[in-house]
Amino acid sequence: MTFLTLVLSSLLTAPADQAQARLDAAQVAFAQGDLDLARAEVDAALSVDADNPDALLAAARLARKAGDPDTAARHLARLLELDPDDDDARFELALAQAEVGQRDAAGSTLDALVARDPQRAEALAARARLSSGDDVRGTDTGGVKPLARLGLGMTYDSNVQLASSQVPSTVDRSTPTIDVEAVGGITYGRADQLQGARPFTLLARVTNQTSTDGDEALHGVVPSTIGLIAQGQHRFGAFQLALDMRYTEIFVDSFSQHVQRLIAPSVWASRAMGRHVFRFLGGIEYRDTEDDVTIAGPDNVTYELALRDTMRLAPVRLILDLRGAINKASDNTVQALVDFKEVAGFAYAWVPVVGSLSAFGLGEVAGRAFEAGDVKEVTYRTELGARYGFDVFELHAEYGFMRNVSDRDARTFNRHVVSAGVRFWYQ
Amino acid sequence: MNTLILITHLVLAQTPVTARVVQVIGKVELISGQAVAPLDRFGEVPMGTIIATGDDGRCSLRLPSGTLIRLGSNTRVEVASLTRGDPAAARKETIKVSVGRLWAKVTKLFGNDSRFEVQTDNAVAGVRGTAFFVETNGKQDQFVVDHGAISVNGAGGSLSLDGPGAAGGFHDGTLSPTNPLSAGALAAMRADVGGGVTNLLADTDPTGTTSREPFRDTLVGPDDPVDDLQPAARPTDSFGGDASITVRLIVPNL
Repeated sequence: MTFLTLVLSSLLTAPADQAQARLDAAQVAFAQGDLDLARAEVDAALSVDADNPDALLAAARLARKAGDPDTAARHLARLLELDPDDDDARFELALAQAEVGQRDAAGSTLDALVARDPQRAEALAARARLSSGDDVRGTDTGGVKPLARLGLGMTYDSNVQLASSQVPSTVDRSTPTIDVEAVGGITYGRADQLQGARPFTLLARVTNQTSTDGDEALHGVVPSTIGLIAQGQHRFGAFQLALDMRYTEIFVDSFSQHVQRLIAPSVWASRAMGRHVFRFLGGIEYRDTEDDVTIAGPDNVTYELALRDTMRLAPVRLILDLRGAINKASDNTVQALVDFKEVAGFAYAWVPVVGSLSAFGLGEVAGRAFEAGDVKEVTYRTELGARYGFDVFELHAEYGFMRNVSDRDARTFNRHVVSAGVRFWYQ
Repeated sequence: MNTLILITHLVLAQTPVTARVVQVIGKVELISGQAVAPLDRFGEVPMGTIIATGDDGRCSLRLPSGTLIRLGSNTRVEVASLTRGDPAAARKETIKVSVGRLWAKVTKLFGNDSRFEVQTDNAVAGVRGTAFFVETNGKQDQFVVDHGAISVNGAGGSLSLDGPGAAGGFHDGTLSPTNPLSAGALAAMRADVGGGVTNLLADTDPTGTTSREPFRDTLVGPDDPVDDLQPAARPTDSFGGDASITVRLIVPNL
């Protein structure tokens, strides 16, 4: 009876209505990041309603997203036969034609579009790029691209020293700071097939914090850094592999004293599966400390493994991360509160709120056990933040709270951090 | 001779044309005078006719300029004015909404005489290349920007709405802004006028990613999800402060 009802229902329902149900299902699959299922649903919509304009446009866009501009061009050409005034489809047909190497046809399509709408900026720009031999999309021509960022901000930290015994507990360890960050560098290569990343990146980065209460309020521990970040990424079949190397010189009191050199190579592999991107990372952080700096302790190294799942639940991005780390003094002698094992996990969510305003939240728990003294502790961290973007700059604000609970009372503490600032971008 | 050419050009520049139906879902009727007929996909809609959607009805209209109009269920609109020039972006188009919900993705206007307006009984929304919603019950109107900007004029004053989710309306005799809508609410409104696929079409950027997010992803450490985060300093660190590079600097004598 149920089967008969379904058959009668499908016979009595117009093809456009049947197609619309398939397209609604395609949207659900697309929102969950399952592009294969979305394509299957759109194809099913076209099988019952071959001239459905929404299905044709959806099929074309999904085909281009899957790297199949031939199929996209076929769908778009049919769409324009049915709806010759659809200038969005005409523009996308030009892109698809250029992607399959039909640059003359793409030029003719763009000329027809500009004739209908002489001020359509994206079409004019694409035509100019096509004429000059560049990538018609203008998104990535594959060469060297400079980028830079300048950040200015303020931070209020309730406990810059954390729980060091070097400052008596009666001393106020809170201070507001003025923060400056400058980043500059280049990227090279095309971002195709690399989840938006370019194959090579080289960045230089300088950070500095000064206290409005004077240098004494920094207790000689708030870092100023200068460093280099080099990163390479490549795709091997379904996997994206990345090698990341970071070299940082760390100073205190606004570069007046050098305390440590940090060298941190890491490698990771990621793979997209439906709405998930799984990433497995292994990394090392080696700290080479100045011998005459008493606060820094011995040279030591951290070995870290991490598994991460990044989910796109449009419009929300959710990240779940689980990691383990072992820290060892470099001289192979057991050091109190230097040698430890740590397991940590966090959940992070980012969501667009309205317009250019977005917000994020993070919750993290980390537990660690030290080899010496049988000391165990757990750290809880939560953070909330917001960002509002403009063309060349963005405003941001964050609040973070951390609580460390330790077997040793001196290491049990709370820390509140409030920060806000502006970042200027050149990219 | 020159005068004759000019007159010819002016006539051509204001040619009455028809809109084209590109999608019909459920019950949708075309009303011309006393005649009522089902609306056919890929059929033509002349100026002065009325389109009415039923409880389960939705439809899309392509105007000659390239502008796309989507109508939700239980909506009644009149194609009040429809002339196109050369180029197609030079035109005068007016859609009058009596009741219901409408979404418009408007091709940019060309020339100073061009105009695209959506009228309700209380207000007129004028735009220059944008996408927006209009909803009315005949007494109260709501205007919501999908992307771009619109200006709304009515007896109660004028209103400028800029950016996705910006909203305002005609309530109690005056035009006033209302709380902006979230991305989720915009997605729901798109789905209401055209089915869920309108979100799929809106979410797939035809030119690909050009944002600064790839740079942001490069800048963060391999263990930080975003560089907006404050430093993930551990209690084993001596260093506090705003260094987004994770630093484990050990104090051995605690």
